[in-house]
Amino acid sequence: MSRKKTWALYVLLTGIVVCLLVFWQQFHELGGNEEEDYEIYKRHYAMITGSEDSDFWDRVYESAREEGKVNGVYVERFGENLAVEYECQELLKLAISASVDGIIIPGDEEEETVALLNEAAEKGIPVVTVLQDSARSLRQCFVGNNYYNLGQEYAKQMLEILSEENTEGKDTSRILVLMDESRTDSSQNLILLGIRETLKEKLNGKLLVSVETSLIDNSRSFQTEESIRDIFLSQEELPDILVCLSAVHTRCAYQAAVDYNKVGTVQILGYYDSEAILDAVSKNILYSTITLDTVQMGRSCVQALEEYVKTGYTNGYRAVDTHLITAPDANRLLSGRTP
Amino acid sequence: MFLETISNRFRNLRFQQKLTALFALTMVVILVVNLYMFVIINDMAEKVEEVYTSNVSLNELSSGLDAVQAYMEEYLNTKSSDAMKDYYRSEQEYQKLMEGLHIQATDHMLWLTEKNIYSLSKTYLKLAAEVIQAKRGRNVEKYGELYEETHMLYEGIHTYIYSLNNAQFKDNSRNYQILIHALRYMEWISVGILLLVLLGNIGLIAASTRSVTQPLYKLAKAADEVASGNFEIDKLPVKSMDEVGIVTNTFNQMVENIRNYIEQFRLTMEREFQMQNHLKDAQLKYLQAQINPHFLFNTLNAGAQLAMMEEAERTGQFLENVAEFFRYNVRKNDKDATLREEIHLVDNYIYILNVRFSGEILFSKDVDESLLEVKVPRMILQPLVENAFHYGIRNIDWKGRIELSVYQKEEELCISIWDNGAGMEKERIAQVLLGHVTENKEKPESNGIGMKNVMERLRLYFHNQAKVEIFSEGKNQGTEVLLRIPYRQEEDPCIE
Repeated sequence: MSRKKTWALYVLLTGIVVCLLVFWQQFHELGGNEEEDYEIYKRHYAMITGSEDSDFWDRVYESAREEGKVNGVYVERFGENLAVEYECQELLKLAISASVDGIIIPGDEEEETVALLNEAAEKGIPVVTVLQDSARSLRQCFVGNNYYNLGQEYAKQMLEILSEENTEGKDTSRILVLMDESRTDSSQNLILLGIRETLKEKLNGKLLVSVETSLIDNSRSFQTEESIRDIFLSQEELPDILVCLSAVHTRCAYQAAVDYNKVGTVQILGYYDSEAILDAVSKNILYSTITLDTVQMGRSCVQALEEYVKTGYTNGYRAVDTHLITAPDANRLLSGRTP
Repeated sequence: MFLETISNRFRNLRFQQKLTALFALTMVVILVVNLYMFVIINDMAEKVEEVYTSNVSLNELSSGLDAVQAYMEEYLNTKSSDAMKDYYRSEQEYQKLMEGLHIQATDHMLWLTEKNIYSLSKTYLKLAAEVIQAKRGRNVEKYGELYEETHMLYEGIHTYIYSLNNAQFKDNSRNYQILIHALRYMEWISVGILLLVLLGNIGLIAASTRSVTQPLYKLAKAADEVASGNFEIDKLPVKSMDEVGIVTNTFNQMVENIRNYIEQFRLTMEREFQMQNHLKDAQLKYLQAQINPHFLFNTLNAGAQLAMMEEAERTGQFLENVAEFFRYNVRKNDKDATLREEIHLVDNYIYILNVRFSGEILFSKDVDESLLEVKVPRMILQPLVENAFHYGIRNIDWKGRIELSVYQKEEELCISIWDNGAGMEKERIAQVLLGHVTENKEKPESNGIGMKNVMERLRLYFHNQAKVEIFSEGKNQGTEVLLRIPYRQEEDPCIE
């Protein structure tokens, strides 16, 4: 056989072998890819959040998960993929029964919650309450901000608004604080206290300001939105300032203000910094919004648990920073977020 | 290189082995590719079968949990020992089923759910055992309380299993779709691969059979050349040691041998030709040498007698003739003669005879003068004239006559010696012409060269082209001996 033919034969044989190998690889890629990339972790923490404010909790969870990864811990959004939607307490029970290595949960002061948190502590499962505390329980740590300070922050905004309105010659101003009925902890009361005391101190009787609260019922689905719209519809005189203490309340309130053409009539102080809220602030539908540092919050939760697991103790309280966002800030943030 | 080694080994295989190896190889290649396809299809079929296995396992787990719960409730209701047994059996079965679950903390969501199911199930079984224990201890309040807790957990686990089942079903359905998709692709790909292998095999067979048949083709071409008489061909190259290689080798050898044989044959022919020439010369010399000295002696005796009797002029003439006669013999011993010289010798001879026998012989000649320079073998006429004298006219009662005539007839030179002597019978003529008659050695006057000698010399000299004929009407009717020698006017009849 000539050299040319030998090479042709070589090329042909190689071609067939390559074809078979490529085919084999293709076949495995198509048919056998159930083995996805995954990692094994030392510990398994359960993070339980309510169904409300999912955007906020998503951010907190992402941050916690990233921090967990660094420490060799997997943080699970407990109950997230279940076919049945469980209440926080039920999920807490399940998490305890599932013997996870740690629990992160927004607390409350209900007896049952406290009992469950205590049961977890008895079973050696460390618990970190986040955003809202269960101060009476045996939880290891609370990660949240100082709600009294938050109230003071809101009050400063109110004073700014009131001073602007004062120039228009108004004597009495109504402030309405929307409170979540399901939140049984003291956080909302602390905020309210902060607002009231600051206003009292700063105004010093110069201006008549009434600070009222409205409990928003969210026991049924979509009830929150209806309750807030009721405020815009049923009340003869709308408040001058509307304070929202949750992201959902904020979104419902500004949407209602737009729908009922009350933008400017009612100054809304919002909470949280989702894109929609920032957009509303930038368009002056919201006067300003106050947000918590979600990244710091998630990270702190995991750090507290890790500290407790490793050393047996941890600080009872970890503070999370708050940020006030006004229209220029919102514009800046929005332009920063959009690529 | 590996392929080169294989190629060399292949070349040295026998013809049948080569073909067998070739077809076996192609068949093996097709078989291997088919087996490969078969393995892949089998693998794929197994995968399709396994797609929903995880769902089946989860359903079993769910049923196992149901059984534990049902038997526990039955025991709580009836406190029967059967229910108790069933409870323990179902609990064990459930624990076995639990062993198949993943229990590590992982970011694989399905496995993490399995871990949760496992941990929840462990707690559940522990609680269930406590419920049973409390029931046995008739601690009504405790087992009532624990049962509620167990039931809550049971439902929780169910929710987990159900959710996992859904997630896995989604995952499996996706895999199933991918597998079906892959199967469809595979049909085309396998057809493509088989076509490729087929092409490869055809190429392989073409290349290999060419290597086998090419030498055969060259051999046939070379054989054709040889058949057309061309032996000057190049040696065929022998690359393999199969039958074709052997035949090619043998063919090369054969052509070489034929070439050698032809050369040898040529040399032998040349030598033989020279040998024949020499032999002819030798025979001529030998035959000429047969002219024995008796004749010389007798002649000289006659001369002497004549000289004694007459002491005259005629003796001198006679002796001159005798001298001429012998001079001819001596001078022309190794050369051809012209017809003129031969006739002159006959004249000398007749003169001598007439001297010897007192002019008894009447000799006449009729010669075409133009033919006198024709070359003929020496000493062919004199013996014939001598025969005419001795056997024809010597012993007759009437006057003897000898006639010599030389003439051309068509493309032949005819020399006729006629006598009016004793004549010959037809049988005798036939015997003489066949050479069966031996010369009469007892006749001392004969010069020893007889008819047979002349005929042989003519045959050799003219390569069987000369003819000798003898005509006689019978006893006492005279005899004519006719020599017919090939002759063309423009050329010399002699072959040098």
